[in-house]
Amino acid sequence: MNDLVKYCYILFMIIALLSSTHSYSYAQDAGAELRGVVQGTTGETLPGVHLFIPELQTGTVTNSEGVYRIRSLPPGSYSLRVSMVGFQTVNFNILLSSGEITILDIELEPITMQSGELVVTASRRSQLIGRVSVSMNTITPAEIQSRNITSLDQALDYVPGVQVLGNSVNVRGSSGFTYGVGSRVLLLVDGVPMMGPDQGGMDFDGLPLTQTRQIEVLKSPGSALYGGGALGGVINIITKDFPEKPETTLRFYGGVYEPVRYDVWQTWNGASDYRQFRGLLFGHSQKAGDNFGFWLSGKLHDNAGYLQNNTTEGLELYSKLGWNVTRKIDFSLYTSARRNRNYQFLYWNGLKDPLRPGEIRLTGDTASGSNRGLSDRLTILPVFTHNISPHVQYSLKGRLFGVAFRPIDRQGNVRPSEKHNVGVRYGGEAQINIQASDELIITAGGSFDENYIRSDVFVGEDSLMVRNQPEGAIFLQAEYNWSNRLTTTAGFRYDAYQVHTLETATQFSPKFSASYVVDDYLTVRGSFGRGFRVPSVAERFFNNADFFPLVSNITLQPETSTGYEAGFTYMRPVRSLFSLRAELTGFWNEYQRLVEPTFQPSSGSFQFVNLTEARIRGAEASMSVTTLDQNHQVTASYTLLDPADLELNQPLVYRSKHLLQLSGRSFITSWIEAGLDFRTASAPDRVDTDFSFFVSDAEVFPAVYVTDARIRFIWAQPANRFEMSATLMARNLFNYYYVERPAIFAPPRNFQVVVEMKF
Amino acid sequence: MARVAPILSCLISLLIIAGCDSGLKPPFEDPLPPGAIRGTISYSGEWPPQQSLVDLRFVPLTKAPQTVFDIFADLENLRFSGRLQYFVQDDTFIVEDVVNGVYVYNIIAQQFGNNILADWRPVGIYTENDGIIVVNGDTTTIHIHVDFDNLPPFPPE
Repeated sequence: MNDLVKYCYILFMIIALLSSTHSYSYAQDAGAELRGVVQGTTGETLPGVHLFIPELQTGTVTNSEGVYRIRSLPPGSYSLRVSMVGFQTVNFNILLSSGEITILDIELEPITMQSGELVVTASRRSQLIGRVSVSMNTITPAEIQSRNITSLDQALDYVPGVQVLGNSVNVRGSSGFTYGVGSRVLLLVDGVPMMGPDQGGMDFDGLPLTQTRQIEVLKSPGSALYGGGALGGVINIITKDFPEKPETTLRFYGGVYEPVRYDVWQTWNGASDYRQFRGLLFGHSQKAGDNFGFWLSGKLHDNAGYLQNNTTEGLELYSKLGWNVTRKIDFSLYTSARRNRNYQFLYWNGLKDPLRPGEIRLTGDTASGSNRGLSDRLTILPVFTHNISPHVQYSLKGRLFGVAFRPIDRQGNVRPSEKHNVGVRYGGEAQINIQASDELIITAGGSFDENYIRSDVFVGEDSLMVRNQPEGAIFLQAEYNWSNRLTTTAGFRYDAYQVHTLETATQFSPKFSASYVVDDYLTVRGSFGRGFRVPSVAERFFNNADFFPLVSNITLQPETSTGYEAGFTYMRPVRSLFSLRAELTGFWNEYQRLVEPTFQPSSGSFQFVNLTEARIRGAEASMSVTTLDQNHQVTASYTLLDPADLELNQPLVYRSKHLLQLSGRSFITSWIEAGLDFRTASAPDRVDTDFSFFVSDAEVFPAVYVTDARIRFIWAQPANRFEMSATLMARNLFNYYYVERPAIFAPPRNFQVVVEMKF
Repeated sequence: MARVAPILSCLISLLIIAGCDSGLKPPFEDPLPPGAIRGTISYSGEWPPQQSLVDLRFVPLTKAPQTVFDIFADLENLRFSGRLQYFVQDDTFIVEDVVNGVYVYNIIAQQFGNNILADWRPVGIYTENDGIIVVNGDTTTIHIHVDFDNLPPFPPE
């Protein structure tokens, strides 16, 4: 009965808060008040920290901003105990006076360096990674800088359980290879979906990597929080805020691809040359006054490519403006614009001639294995945040994401009104976070998006050239801390979307997860979640044989997934020398109505169809050992996958059974850092042999063994806030030849020099 | 150090494996020159209607197909004659650049519909000598009879 009263009270509070944003009272009583902010040693605010006054048997927990507040305290001298799993417990003596507010900001020291890591993707709010109840990995700016990561696929190569096949991202085998359309992993920038409105694919360029605070990879179905697309996982690019002092970054890189070692493959002019690539990344961020901040960044790049007809040149510009309108109201605006001029290699001319594009002659006219075009993108993301009180915050987010693709001729001129695509996704989202009590945190909201596509190639059987695909959703999540050790999270999302004109479908995506802190070092966790994905416009309506015979399927249904996982995280210092982090996770994902491109003999073409039921289960182990001074680190991860097509009783296509990643880095001296990365993926047990009816040797898919090495020389003048570094890198050091996706030869050994300045 | 040694040895072993295996290689090229198949065809029976004669060719295959789609299974090595004449009593053909090997299923194939991958059927089959053997770039000469009133079964029995 008490529970019922409590839940009724919570419900009432939600309704009251949603209907009025000023229902909180700040009236001061005669008692004393203690408040402040709890931070980690690197300055990040810490949510969920317990503060307890033993003499009064009272206390509180910090909110998502690390803020705490204890009111109506009797005046006097007391002790305050501040504790948080993964951090050293500290005690303070405090003196409280009647009617006065005492402000005490606190800094906690993590037991291991990883314990203070914060993530936001797992539950749409800031959490310590050790308390997250689902599998997550992060990529830090230091890793992005050290490996000269200039596109997202390079960043994902060393995330445990993640494999990139061309333009398809596989999180624990979720995607296989999908020809670049309809990703089963959702890409977000600051929580906003960035999947192409037309193809539903992921663009690895067009992301502000020099201004990225963190890349978070959620490795289980995430549709309960983020909706369609998060079938196999979520990648969230978290952009930086604004530093107290101005920061400028300039990074130049240039390199060459080594010619292939076999003369018989050097079948075109340029194949025997060292082909060049180069780029400039720049960024500047600063605060302007007390209430404004901004950053600007960009990338200018060109790549001659190691394949014939595979060049890229482009310019990307990003900006973010921040304005603290009042102490409680923030506004930010993220914008990006990108133009790429690409000559894209689509499939090879067989293993006897893998560096040149092939041709398909079985489709009447000859289809070409390369494609030249101009690709433009524009993104505008305004965010309004209002901290109504220390316990209630809401945000309003808008989004506009436009893409355009136009073919160009050999002279670089846009062909007049022929086979153009224009896609726009626009919409908004409202979210409220309520710390209803010390134990209960509620996140709720709703979103609406419209996809508008005008295309000369997504014509479909109904002959329409303009498509609309509206989507709307509501979501609710409740996190309850039963004690300092046990946390449970339950939530759901209800999506409605239009798949045909006048036909609306709905999807209910629940989730449940729990984490239990066994001791200071060990956390066990388990979760269940559902995911779904609405087929993209390209999958349903693409009708074209210019590059590949593909026909539309307007009856395509959404695919769904159900995922379960359980595991533990162990973080502890070892002999005051090392910090150890180890994780072991078992997972079981089931997929229904999986959409796969399938050859249809009746039409002589490929078509996306709801093909099969599938199950991907497996286990993942990862470990990292870091010296306490963080100068040396070794990481290792292994993923075992059992991907099964349950209808055919065969392995799913294009899934590697074994993935192994090993990395080491070391500051040999204070000015020399060296790093070595190795990744391997076993050859898939099964590939799509239908593709090889059209493209020679498309079924060739060997195991991957790639080793990257780097050495970095650093010259720093901390007093002048100046740092300069030069890095020599060798990617694919042993020049191992493999395919990055079916019928595309992966990069051979390549060398690059990176010079970076920060001031 | 004793604990680190096994990890280091595994890492070094993997790096050595990665360094030794060079990955993809150019496919083995047959050093023998390709051969040719030359032939004559005689027709009997009533020709199919004009609209169903989309294409007509001689096709040598190394395996007997079980579906029409199997004909295109080895597209890289698939060879066929030029288009044959319609409504004639006799014709000739030549297929050049034939990869050395044993061709067990050799047919006159008719495309009867617009689907280039599905709408094919055999109308005549070479049944002598258990097939054609192409070796050392030789040219093999054969004769096929097509009886439109008595078409060979497909898939083959």
